[in-house]
Amino acid sequence: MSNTSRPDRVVPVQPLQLQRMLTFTVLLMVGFAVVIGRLIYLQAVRHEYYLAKAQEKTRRIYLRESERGKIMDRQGVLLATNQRIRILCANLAYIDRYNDKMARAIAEYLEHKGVTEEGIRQRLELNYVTVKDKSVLDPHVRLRVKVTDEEYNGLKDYIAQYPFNEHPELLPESEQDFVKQMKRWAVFVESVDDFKRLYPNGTMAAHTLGFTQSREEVWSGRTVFLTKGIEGIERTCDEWLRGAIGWRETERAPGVGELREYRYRDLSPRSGMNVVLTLDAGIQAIVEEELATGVETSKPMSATVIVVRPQTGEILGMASYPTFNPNKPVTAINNGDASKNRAIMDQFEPGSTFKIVSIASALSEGTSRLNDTVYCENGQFSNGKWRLTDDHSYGNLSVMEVLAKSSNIGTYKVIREVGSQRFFDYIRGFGFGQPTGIQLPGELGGKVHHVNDWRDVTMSRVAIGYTISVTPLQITMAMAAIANGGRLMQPMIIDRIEYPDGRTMTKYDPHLVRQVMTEQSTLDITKALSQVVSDQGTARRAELEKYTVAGKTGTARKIVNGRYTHSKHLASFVGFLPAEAPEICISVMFNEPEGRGYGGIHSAPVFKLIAERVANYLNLKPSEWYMPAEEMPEDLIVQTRVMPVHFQP
Amino acid sequence: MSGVESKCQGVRQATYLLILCVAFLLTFGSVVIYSASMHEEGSSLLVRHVMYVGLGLCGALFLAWKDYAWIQKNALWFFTVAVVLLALIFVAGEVRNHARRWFVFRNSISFQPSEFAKLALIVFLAWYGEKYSEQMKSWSKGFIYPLLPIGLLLGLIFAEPDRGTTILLGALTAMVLLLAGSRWTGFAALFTAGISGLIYIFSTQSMPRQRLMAWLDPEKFKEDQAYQIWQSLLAFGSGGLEGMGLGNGRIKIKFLPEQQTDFIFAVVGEELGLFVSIGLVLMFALLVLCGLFIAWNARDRFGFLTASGITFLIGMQALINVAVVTNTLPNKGLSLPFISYGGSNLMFMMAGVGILVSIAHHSVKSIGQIGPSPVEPEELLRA
Repeated sequence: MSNTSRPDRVVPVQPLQLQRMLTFTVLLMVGFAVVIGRLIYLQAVRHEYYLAKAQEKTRRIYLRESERGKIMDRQGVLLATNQRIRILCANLAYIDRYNDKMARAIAEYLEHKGVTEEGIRQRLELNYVTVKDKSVLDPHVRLRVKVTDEEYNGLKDYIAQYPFNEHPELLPESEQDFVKQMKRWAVFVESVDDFKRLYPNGTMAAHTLGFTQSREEVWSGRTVFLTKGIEGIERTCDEWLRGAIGWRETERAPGVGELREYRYRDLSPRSGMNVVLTLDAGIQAIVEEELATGVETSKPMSATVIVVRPQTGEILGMASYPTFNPNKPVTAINNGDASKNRAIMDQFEPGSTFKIVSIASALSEGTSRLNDTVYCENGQFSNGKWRLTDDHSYGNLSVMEVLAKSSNIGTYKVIREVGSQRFFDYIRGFGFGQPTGIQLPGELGGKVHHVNDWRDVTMSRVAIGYTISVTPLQITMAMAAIANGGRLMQPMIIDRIEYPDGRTMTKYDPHLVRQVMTEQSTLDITKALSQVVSDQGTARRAELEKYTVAGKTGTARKIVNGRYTHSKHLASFVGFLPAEAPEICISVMFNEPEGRGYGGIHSAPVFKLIAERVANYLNLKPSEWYMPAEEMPEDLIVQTRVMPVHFQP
Repeated sequence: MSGVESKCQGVRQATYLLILCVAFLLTFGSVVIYSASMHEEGSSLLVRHVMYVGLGLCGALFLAWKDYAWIQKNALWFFTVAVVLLALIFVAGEVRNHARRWFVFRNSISFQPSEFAKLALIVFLAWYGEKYSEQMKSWSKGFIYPLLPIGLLLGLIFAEPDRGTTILLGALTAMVLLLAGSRWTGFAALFTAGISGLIYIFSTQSMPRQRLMAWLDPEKFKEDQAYQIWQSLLAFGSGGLEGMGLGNGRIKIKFLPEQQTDFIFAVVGEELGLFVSIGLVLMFALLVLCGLFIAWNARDRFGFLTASGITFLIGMQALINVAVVTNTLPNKGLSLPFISYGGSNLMFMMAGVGILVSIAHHSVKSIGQIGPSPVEPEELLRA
């Protein structure tokens, strides 16, 4: 059969075949030409269109949230910090037939986070994924629940003791072993770049700190969720605290996730700056404890305490009642009453505490001297158009006694000498009628009617603290000005801004607003104010054993249905100590306390408890060893110990 | 005498060019296979592919060395074995991707009988064309008789189902029989019947019609029917003129299914760009021209038919594959010769090349021995 041996059998190719072969060849070549044309169309003409479509699928921008700056007290005690959040995962291989019970256990423990049993159970169903066209079981599932380390550990403990079987001792050994393994390995966490704001001391300084919330924001054209400060320092210092968001421009593939080799831009987030407050956690703790005690006995609607350093205006402690837990911002938002910082947002008629302003202006103007005698009309004064009364009837009182016994008539007579224009100037000078400018959001300025709008009666009412409204912080700062030689300071709440590594970036310096009154007259009024806190005065309950206290009580009647009532009061006490060389100025305000709402009864004892403990805490020298101001060591206020702070996540 | 010598020279050069083309395609294919599969398989596919190349090379060398006359002698046997194997698939075959096309041994070594059937069919047709060369014009011997066994073979492949291979082999049968001298009217009638059958199917059934719609507008159906083809278009389009760079394809990672087998050309387009993809198509065209030149100069009719059959098989399979991945034709599962991953296809394609070389080799020999070329048209008259 071989053709080589029998060449005669070679069958020659005919013209027909040549023609057909050429036809097929040409057809095939035309086919190749067509696909080449098609390739040119796809790859050259439509390149940009398809490239954009492909990049839409593969390119991704992942945000990397920055760690929010911490908030610390002046000693470095953490008041607000962050907790790393983890994603809760489960390994189905360890759960197997116990998925219903496991779902129940997890849901029970995490109920407060809104985790439902049904949601977990769905996640614990057998999880099939497609790998290379085959359906395989993937035991690793994410439960879509974010937990903190504490919650995770708690959950592990909860699962460890959870009764998965009614009588575990009756089970075969292999089954017991399985349950043991499950309790140990079934639930685990995965780390993510996410943080939760944590206030380790719970409600401490809640109103000052404020709180944060995850809010929708537009960031380079995309809607993202970012942590944003809503109230307090968290809000005013939001720009400092938030840092800079990082992002990662990268590519991904389905089922693979990020393709690291094509990550072409990766910007690390910059952590936020730390904010160091002037608050002292030790003093804040004292203030809050004693405020709570006071609230228990007096049962007021609301209450505030402010502790301030007169020389600088630094606020060492500031508390409001009712309070809230910033760790639960949702409840804070829903309960505006609790999250309101009353020290700067409450406005009320101060009552007798305002007499310090009246007497101070008279002494500073020189229209009265401390020992001048004023006839107090035995408690009943009338000029035909209007009346003014005292609770007790007094005859002749010195100016000092007018203040100590808080005589309305005496105060009016003293201020009458000053005149309404000058009195108004002093009121404005002490900072009333405008916000103090503290770096906290939502501060109100109170209300002082302009002197041009005053009627005849107005001065008598203003002199004793009515027909004007002030905030607790304003009256505290006015008292601090008296303690500070007549120099009104701007209240400070932020001491400095620090870099994340602790270096100082910006230091805030004390800011003198103005010299309100002469330095000499402050000595006089201090003398008068220390008489208030004595057996002669209205605030003997504020008297301390080792320190002389200068202060003033206030019992302001509140307006109910347009009339001043006798049943609802604002009980207040503002004072400073030691009277000779003031170091701290404290105000205590109780709004509508139970029973007779005298400031001397409700506020003075709380002042005393706070002042005693704070003076001890600050290691202030007792008054027996009084030293002139110029010899006072600079570092007197340096702290020696920090109150142990209870940790409440 | 000089004409014979130049002919000798020409066939030899064509053979060298053919071998060069195939060698280039095999090397290029190994590189692209690694690039296409590295994300999911690492180098395991590359290693297996190189192993297949080695085996295929042994087979091709053997076939090239041996005179192809033995193939002609055993052509009927090859055909019978192919039919038996295809029939056995329905008993012992394994289903992958909803089709029963493979024998699998020990879970790892698989064998696709339809790849063997391609060569067996060509050899059978060539044998038939040689045996009945005088009667090819008749209806019975030239058309109906050969189509009966071939119909059986194609029917078995169609039932796997493997429609792409069926269409490819149907066209190939027609080409080889026409080259052998059959009347074209019969095939024209079959072609017309096939087209009207398709039109009927498209007009009555919704599923094929949807596929047709997806072919015409892949972007609209990119989530379901046209998912794969849309990914392929994205790969080509994003490659552009210069490509993303070898190994840098993105669509190949998990987006594009079958990226290392049927759709490997899309990976080439994405990573190496327009110039390389056109170059690859031209390489196949060159390979076809070389093969046809060899066929033209074969020493006998069997060699002529076998060589043209093998060449058209390679050329058409490459053309259909490229047309499919560029959405010029609707999606049919055909691999790209010498490039796609897949042992059976690669080894039988290389065996085919071995036969081609053998035909070229022996044509050169015969020209040297028996004098004037039998294929010179003007010498036909003398014979």
